[in-house]
Amino acid sequence: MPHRWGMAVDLDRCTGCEACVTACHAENNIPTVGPEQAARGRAMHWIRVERYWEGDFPDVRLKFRPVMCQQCDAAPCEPVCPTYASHHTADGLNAQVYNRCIGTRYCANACPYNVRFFDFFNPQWPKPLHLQLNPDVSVREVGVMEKCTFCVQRISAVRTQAKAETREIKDGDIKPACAQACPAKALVFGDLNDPESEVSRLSRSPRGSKLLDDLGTLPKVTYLARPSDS
Amino acid sequence: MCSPRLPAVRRRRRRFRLAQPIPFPHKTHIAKGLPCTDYCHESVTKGPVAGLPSIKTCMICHDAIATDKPLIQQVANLQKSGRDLAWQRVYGYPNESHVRFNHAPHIRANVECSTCHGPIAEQTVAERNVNLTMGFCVNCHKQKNASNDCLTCHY
Repeated sequence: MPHRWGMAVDLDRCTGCEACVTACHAENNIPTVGPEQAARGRAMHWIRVERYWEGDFPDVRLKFRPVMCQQCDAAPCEPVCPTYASHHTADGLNAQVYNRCIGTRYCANACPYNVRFFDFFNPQWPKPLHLQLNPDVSVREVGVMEKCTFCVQRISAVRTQAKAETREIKDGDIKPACAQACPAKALVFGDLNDPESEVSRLSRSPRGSKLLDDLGTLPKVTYLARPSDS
Repeated sequence: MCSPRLPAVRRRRRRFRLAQPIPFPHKTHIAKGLPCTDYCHESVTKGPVAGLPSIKTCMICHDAIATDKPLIQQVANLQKSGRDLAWQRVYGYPNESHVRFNHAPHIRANVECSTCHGPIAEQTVAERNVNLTMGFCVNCHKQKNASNDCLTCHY
């Protein structure tokens, strides 16, 4: 049976530390664009931590929600792509193929989660940061869309390794950079087709919900509400 | 035999990269029975990169073998001076192609080195003879029932 990669985010555990954001930038060679361009909405974060303030001062509560590509089963970004750069893989990943992308940006307009980013510039890193690029991930050039891949390079590496050792991929073998960096273990990645995997177990939790569920995009990321909220 | 249809960028890069530190005779070593994957490119069976040998690898054998040849003496002197051989990569992909190639699964699938690297066993200094276009890869993947999803190689 093919895998179906998914993620569960336990909002009760998330402290909003943004380690996931930093790890994602480092792992996936995501450039920063500087304050002026960021003010124009051109900043790129494949995962972001949304902040929600509740209540009136001084009785204020702050809630965090890490948002990455939801890897929707019925992804709105896919049918609008004229070049099939955005397509679904057998593993249920919502893939973005940079070679095919011609930068129409239809996908970013179609995405209700705002998790697709357009490269307005050729990325540059101030020296010596250009030496820290991850060789397993492409550096995207100007004019293409990019988004969270669930660290497909890590999935691919583990799949190759498992095949070499003639074994199945075990639950927990694959950890995207965000899940690996999360000190509170709020992010759990795994195979949703395996009913025993931790991510499947968490996704079945009564605390679970999908982001903008009523849109019918069938996201593969489940958010577990704080017990006090549910 | 050079492929005439290499894109301009690739062609420039190739000429540049062919300036190797020493004219390493692949032919001689293969003829003596040294397989590509032993010693010199040994990480080819383990991971993505085949690897280029350091001068220490050369001296494993050449401490004792053919020490009278001028080229070997040149290498030995280089090692004595604490330097290494600055090999230039002959095959590879430009960043714009967004290709992530892994050698190990291809070796396990019994793809011969010469399929993608041409007659290196008959060459002295390694030359780029095979034009590694996407069609070249995809044809083989189709024949061998390997995955043809874009995401297999492009990410």
